[in-house]
Amino acid sequence: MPSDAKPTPRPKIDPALRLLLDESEARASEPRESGQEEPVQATFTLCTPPGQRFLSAEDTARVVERLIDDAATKSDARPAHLKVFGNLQSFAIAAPPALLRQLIACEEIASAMANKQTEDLFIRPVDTPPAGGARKKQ
Amino acid sequence: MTVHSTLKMFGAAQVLVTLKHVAPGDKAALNKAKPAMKRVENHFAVRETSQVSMLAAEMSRTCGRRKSASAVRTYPNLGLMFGTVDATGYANLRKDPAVDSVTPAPALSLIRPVATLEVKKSKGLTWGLKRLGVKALWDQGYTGSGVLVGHLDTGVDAKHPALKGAIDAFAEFDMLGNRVPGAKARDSGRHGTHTAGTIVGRAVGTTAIGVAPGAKLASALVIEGGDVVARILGGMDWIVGTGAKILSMSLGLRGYRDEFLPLMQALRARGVLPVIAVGNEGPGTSRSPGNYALVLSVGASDAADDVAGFSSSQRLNRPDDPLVPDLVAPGDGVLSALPNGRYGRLSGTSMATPHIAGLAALLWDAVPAATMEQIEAAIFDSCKRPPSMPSERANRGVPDAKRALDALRIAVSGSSSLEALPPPQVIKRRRAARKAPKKRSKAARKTPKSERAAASKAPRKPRPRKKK
Repeated sequence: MPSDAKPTPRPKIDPALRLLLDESEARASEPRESGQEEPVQATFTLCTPPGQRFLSAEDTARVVERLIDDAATKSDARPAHLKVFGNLQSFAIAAPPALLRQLIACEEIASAMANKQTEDLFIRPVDTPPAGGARKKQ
Repeated sequence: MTVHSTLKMFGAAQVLVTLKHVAPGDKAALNKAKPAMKRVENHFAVRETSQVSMLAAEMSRTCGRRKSASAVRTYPNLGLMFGTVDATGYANLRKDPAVDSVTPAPALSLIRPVATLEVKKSKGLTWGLKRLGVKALWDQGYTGSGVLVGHLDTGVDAKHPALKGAIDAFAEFDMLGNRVPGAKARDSGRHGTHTAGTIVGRAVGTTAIGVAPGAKLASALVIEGGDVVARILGGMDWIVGTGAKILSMSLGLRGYRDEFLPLMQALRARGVLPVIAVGNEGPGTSRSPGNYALVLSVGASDAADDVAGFSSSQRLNRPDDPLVPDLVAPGDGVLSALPNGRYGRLSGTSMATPHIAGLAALLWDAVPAATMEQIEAAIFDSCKRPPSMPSERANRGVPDAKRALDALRIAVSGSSSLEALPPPQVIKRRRAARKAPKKRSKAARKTPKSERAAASKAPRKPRPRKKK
């Protein structure tokens, strides 16, 4: 039977984060490695529940705690670091890839990014010749 | 990004075409291949936003050379073509028998020299302040007083004479987004002091560099390396907590990336207007989040009233607000503060963005009850695009402080009579107009009363607005 319910929007996952998770898991599976997965740093933003403008700082903390507890149980892994950004309904986490994959699969997650980007986000100033010949005196 | 995904997102893509049957240096073969090359060239779309077209236009402007805009550059000795195609052109290229392969144009970026033109402070207002007409608002007593502006950057030198007393709060964040305890205001570079000076710089002697010299700044040091997301989130989270109404930020990932979208939604939902630089990679490029419909995206203009060559601009394949930036503001050779009491000129959309953040602060000072959407709409309504600026590059054009305040007052008084009132002289003018007998135009006299009533009830011509 067709449902009237709106489909849950696909979470926006940074390709760099997927790559980091794959690489970390591949390294852990190599025979010389200890088999321990090293923590991967990522940032997550939570979805805003329908009918609400945003999640309060208290609700954000509560949802993050629940999601991480569930993900830790399912993955049998613990986060090495967690920082909740209550005013942004977001959090930063360092955790084994298995735990992060569990988090990515949660429907409460709106987006996830690798904490360390390969690209510089800073829009640096440029050096330009004066416009229209001599630069106007200020 | 593949050519397909770029076409889907932007409706056009830059491609590199390798031609068949052209042996390097073989003049006879080259001449034989010329008709086929001409045919292949026709598959490229002529777009004024393509980098090739822009380079041609720049050459024409700066060197006085006449060069018609072209969407393709052919390198016959290499058997290569580089240009912009739309979906049809891409399909035709792939079918063309003279084409060996079509690949996405390599995403090379210039490592630009960063030079600061250090100068002695000069008298009067900077060209940017004059261009926005901010003095008209200062003269009415609006300087941004009581407005807190969020500033995510390389930090700020709070001891600079132009910034004394302007920094309300400062915070520094580590790589995992934790606030560094006891951090004192400092600039890890010079960018932050420069942008802070443009937003809230106080007049020193007769030199004025700040758009909103009465406003205050909540400044976070988040850029050192510029590649750590948690640090930026830590800064944003803190800025929301300070109660800032505006966020001025010059950060972004190249191309369209939707991972920042929920963050910008979170900012707007909390009443913070994100004013974001669109990027410095020229036409046909943009950065996220500066290319979201949800942010007030800012490009750069120069003192000659052209769009600065480096200023990014791009048309996105979306129904709402497809063109970025939303507007342009002074961003070339901008004089502002540098650390250790110095002054200097920098260029970039990062220099244009704080002009708009400052303008928003002036408007909020004038009409404290205005909503974020009203402030944004008033800035848009005030924009005018001079003929020297192509619409695909400048979008709405350059805002004007007085026009923006007029538009804001109309919007706010229309939405609630209890909110901020216009200045006394406007109230007087309106009262006088009400007392005077109305003169009906010739056309109005001919129009039946019923039609006039219907026309007055009809909605105004819709203009592109931001999604709420």
